Amino acid sequence: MRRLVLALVAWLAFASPGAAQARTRLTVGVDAQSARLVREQAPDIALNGIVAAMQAGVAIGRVGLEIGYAQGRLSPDADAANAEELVDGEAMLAVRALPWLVLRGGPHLRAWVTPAGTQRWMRVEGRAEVSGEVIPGRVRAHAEVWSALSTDVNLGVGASGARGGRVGLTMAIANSPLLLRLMYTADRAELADGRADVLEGIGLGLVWRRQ
Amino acid sequence: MRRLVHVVAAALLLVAVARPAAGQQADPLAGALAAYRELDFDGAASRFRSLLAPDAPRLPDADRRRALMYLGATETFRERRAEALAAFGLLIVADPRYRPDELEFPPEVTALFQEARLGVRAVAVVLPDSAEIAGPADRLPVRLYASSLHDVRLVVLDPDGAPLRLLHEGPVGDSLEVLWNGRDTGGRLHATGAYLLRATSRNATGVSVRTVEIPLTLVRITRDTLAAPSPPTAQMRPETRAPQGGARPLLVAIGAAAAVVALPSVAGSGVDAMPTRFVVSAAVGAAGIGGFLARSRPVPIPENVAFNRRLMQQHEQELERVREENAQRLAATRLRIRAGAPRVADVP
Repeated sequence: MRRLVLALVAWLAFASPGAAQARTRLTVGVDAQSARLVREQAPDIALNGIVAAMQAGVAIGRVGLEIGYAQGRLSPDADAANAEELVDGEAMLAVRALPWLVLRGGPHLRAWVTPAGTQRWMRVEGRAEVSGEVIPGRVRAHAEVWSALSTDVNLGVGASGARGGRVGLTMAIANSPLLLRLMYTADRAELADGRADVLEGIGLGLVWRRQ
Repeated sequence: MRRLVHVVAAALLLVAVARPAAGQQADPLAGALAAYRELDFDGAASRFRSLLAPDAPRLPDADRRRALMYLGATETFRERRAEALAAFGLLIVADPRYRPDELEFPPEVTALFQEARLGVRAVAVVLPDSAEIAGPADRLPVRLYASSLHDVRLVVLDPDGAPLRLLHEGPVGDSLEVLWNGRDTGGRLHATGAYLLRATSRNATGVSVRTVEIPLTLVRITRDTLAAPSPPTAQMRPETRAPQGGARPLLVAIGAAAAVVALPSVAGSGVDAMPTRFVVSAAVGAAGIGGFLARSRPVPIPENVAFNRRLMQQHEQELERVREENAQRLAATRLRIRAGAPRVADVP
């Protein structure tokens, strides 16, 4: 199975008509997100805060490697003492299967540092992103969904899965390699006993790209 | 005493008008001069008048002047002052530069001639039969000879008779040289055509009394100028293509906006999602409307715009080269001037 995936990736990367002229693309992005975490339990707990995120990627032809890191502090309203620290990191192998479709896959780690201890999630995710021009040459709309192919958490009850998505747009700034990005993200991570963490965020950021 | 003067004058004239026998036969004035020499002034006056009569065959200019001079002298001897002044006046008008030979005519004749000259306002205009103006420094010399001091206005008239260039306006005592560069006020040589040079004599009260007109034929000799190159419209490429139209961007945006709203459900959230996500949804929708409107306008083709710009730059360069070449050719233009016979006319 692993060999089959690697063969598919290699074919997509190098067997395409444009592979001979494959160009290297670099991207670096930063975001600030207004985030909210809802722990679905009895009763539900909601935490709000600001999360800073950054991403970097390199792509050769259709294949690329992307990494991301986010960190922020979320706390219940008027209860800063019970604040939780979010630390999130991911590394994805990305393949542009079609001009409007990018497939991604890779590990995604997330940790919640709470007064009671640190809750660590480890997933292997599969993602699919579609995009389309809204204003030719200026604005594109993006929609991405993901699902965990495997999920693990350092809680005795265990994890049952995770899924989520991100929708928004990017706008090219004229005569500049910069893009303005506005995204809405929703992610749900479920425990085997039915509890779940729902993390949402609205992020505004800048992306620099060179190709 | 007067008789003595007549005798002396006749003797002088006898010497002055003596001609070889062969020449006497060819001289149309011979008969009149013979009567003059024989002191037959009545007969001489009659003969001179018949030679100068309007219905008589026209004498050559030089003979006509001699006839008028001798008629004036004859009338002086006949003590007919008014007739003498009239004859001298006609002579002065015909040739303002004319002066009687003081060896040929007695002082009383020359004195009366001077009196007549002072009373006549006439000017002779003398210029080369042909001249050429090539460079900016070249001039056509026009010399004015006045019978007596009086105001003269010298002007060039265009082919329609309208004043084109005032060359002189003011007194002329004896002679005056006026220079004309053959150009208009903008420094350009005048066009080919029939022009007129007019000198107007004015009396003491400023009233025009006489004109001398000389036809001028101007020929502009120039190399043909180059035609301006045509704009390269045939080679130009379309700079825009038809609007892409279609509602695809709008549909994409609507789909994305709907996805923003529906994403919490897709993620399986059982709680109320962030209401501020509608801001993102609205932004995506607004961008979609903007995209829809943008696609309804012609789409620029940058490479064609650049191609056309280069083409127009080349055209402008070629245009400038032709302008410079034409300027050089025009600068090398010459003006050939030919002067006709002067016509003298009294102003009624």
